[in-house]
Amino acid sequence: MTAPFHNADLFQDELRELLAELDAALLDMDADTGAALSTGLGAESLNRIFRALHTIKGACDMAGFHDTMALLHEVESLWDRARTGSAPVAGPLVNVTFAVKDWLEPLAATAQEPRPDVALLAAMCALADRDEPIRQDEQATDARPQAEAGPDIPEDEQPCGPMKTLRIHFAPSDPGHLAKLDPAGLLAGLRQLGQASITLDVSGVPALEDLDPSDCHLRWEIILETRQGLDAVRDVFLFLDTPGDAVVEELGALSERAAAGTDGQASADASAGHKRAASETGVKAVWETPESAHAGSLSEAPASESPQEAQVTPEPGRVESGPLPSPGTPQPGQATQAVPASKPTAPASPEAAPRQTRPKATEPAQSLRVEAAKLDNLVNLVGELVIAQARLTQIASELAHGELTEVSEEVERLAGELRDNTLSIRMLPIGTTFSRFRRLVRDLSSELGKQIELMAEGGETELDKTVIEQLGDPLVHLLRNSIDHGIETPGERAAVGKPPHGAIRLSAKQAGGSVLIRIEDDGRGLNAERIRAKAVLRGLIAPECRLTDQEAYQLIFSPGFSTAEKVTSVSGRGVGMDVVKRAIDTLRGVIEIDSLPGRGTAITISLPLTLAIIDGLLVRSSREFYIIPLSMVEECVELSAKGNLSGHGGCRNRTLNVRGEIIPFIRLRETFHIGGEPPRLEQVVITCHDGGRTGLAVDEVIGQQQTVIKGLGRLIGRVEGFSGATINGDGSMALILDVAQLVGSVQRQCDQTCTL
Amino acid sequence: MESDEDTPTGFIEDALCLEMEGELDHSALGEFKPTLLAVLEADRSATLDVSRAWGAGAAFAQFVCAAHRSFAAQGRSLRVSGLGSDAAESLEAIGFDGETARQFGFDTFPAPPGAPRP
Repeated sequence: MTAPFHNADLFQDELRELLAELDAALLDMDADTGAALSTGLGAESLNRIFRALHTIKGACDMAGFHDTMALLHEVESLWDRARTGSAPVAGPLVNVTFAVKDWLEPLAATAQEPRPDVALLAAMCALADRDEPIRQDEQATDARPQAEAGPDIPEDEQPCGPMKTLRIHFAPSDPGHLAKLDPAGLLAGLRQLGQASITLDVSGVPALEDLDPSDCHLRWEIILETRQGLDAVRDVFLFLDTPGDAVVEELGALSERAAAGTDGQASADASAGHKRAASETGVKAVWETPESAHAGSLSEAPASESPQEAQVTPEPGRVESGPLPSPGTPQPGQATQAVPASKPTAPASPEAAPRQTRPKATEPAQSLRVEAAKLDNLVNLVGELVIAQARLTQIASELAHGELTEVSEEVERLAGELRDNTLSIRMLPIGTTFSRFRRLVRDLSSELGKQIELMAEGGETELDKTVIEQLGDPLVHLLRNSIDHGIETPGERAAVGKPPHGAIRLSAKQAGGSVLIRIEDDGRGLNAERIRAKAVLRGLIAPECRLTDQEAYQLIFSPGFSTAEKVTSVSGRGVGMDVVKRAIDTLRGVIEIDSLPGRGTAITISLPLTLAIIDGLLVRSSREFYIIPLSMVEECVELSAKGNLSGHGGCRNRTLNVRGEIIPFIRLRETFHIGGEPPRLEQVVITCHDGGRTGLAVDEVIGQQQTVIKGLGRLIGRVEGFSGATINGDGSMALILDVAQLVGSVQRQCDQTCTL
Repeated sequence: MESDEDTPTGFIEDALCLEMEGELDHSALGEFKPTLLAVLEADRSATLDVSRAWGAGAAFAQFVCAAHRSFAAQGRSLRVSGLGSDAAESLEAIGFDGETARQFGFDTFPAPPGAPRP
């Protein structure tokens, strides 16, 4: 039977997590490769790798990706040999497994089985061939005493341990289980581990009227004879929503003579073990008696009349671990005698047989996996609620109705709490993004012949899910630049008295309503003079232009700018930093660079906690409303008609003297071609962006407000100078200004005008 | 599986014969459940012809058990006919063996080798 692949999303999510775990374990192993496994330094990483591979294999099998499963089985075999100490853990094995992990990524993304990778298969074959001589030595290895067998691995994790008999209770309890997982797949997984005797219990199945066909009321008891460890068996049930639904217990290892079949009686015991192990432990299924189909009886027979035996409930610690009793069909009474202290709990009828034989009460789920789209929808709805609440507040204020005002304040409080809680659901730790950079640093430093250590801090810092998703690429670009251009080769570092190992420190921390992400390296640093020279050469700045170092550093974000002497596969084309700047701008973030020549560079990205709702400053020019992100606002000053202005001919640029500092400002009226005369006393909102300050002259500063960001819609798309729109409390609309873009746009227009 | 309106019906002796088509998964069985309950409400026995259905597994086994219980409680019978060998094999794989099947009204189990499968 082909196991139906009911829930691809669940499979993909799980696979992504497992691949991330495999990646992390491989990186740890890579770091530990030089360490002796026997000291236990790498044993934990090795076990993690093995578990991840094994679980991925099981997941692929259940999902029907049998070719992938077969390949993973081979990789697992290679690691198995390392785990049992019969083959060393070496770089090639880690590299091949990294390649396998990369090969599996599309499967996690699309739930489509990837095409075979010939190069990968060849690398695996080469590795297997290389191990061949070791394989020949395996008998000798196996013959070694356990104490000499290599790593200190728990016995229950050894895949080739002694033959043991396991009893598995499997009773799915989660609602809609059959819509998510097919029990047949799990049972097939168990069969792969050894000889399985499966007993189905249908006593918990309700009448048709009460049945939801997606729920599973069936229960299974499986007696499994296997050499696999308990973990391997438990891994089969890894995808259960409620882990307690499957309980694996060891009945006691059968003697080696029984497993080897050298003793007739022992062999008979072993073969009979499947049938009798359940009764040995006092556990047996209670079956519904379907006699009515034959006899037309209106009542259902008591359990004692059922074709199967009624038995007793197991109690922890009561399992007999000694040899099995002699062959023979056990009777209920015999079973009770075999475990005399067990309490007989055979119900009088199938209806009286609730899941009391369940070995463990199910615990409430501690977390819930929710489709991201549902969460996005929830946030949108909360945004609408906030807007509606703002309208209610305004109406209540206008009507000055006491009771209405009271209700409106209560709604405002509740809406605020709902907003905060909803937004917090979308917050994810940034550590998930950090962890994948370890691989990047490993691979690139190896490619470039550099020794680089990546240190990550503050991985628990939370950011909005959307921000995290869009942050990955910019961080990759920045890291690649640090690795390629920042950190020197070991020889270069030695020449300037630095240790051969370079260091990149990736950190995150929350600061108010923002998260600061900092990438520091101890490389050669930025050369401001060289950047200036290159900028002049490329015509980005005039030769006579004087820039501070900070301003010069910002030039590296110009499209096509690069000071690299040569283009490598890593960087040097001058594309990356431009992409970084745009991506961070899109996230309404700010990038700052600090650098000391010869000492290193630190790039700090400041990002808003969320993209859904911001604190904004509502301003008005004529009848138009605008929102300026409050995080960019420094202060507001008044500007009289004869204020301290200095004109620049036809250009719309103006400057303002604020406590002795000359600050350029733009009038929104002019910039957006709003007609009418400005008021006698204008307001200028001083904003800070890209390391500079610019004023925005408006008619009126209305005040601060929570701003729910709405897109401008597909028809309008992206408009330079605006990052979205919002609805005010009175139902009017306000455009949200992208100050950096707006100022840049005005500056370009001004430059063109001046040139003309 | 056919919708309720389209489910071919007939009589085998006194029982209403309901032909099931398509995959016997939880969602299809959920759609079919009202039909079977309607038969029960009409106080009739039923025979499920699954010769043109496929994908029998845990959901189907459970469904038959539940239906069998309801029909038995009302003094009526529920039988299952036309089970293919593949379906029988799938049911056996989850521990629903021939003996159990007979107790729950399966006419044949496992089906003869080479039984037709759509």
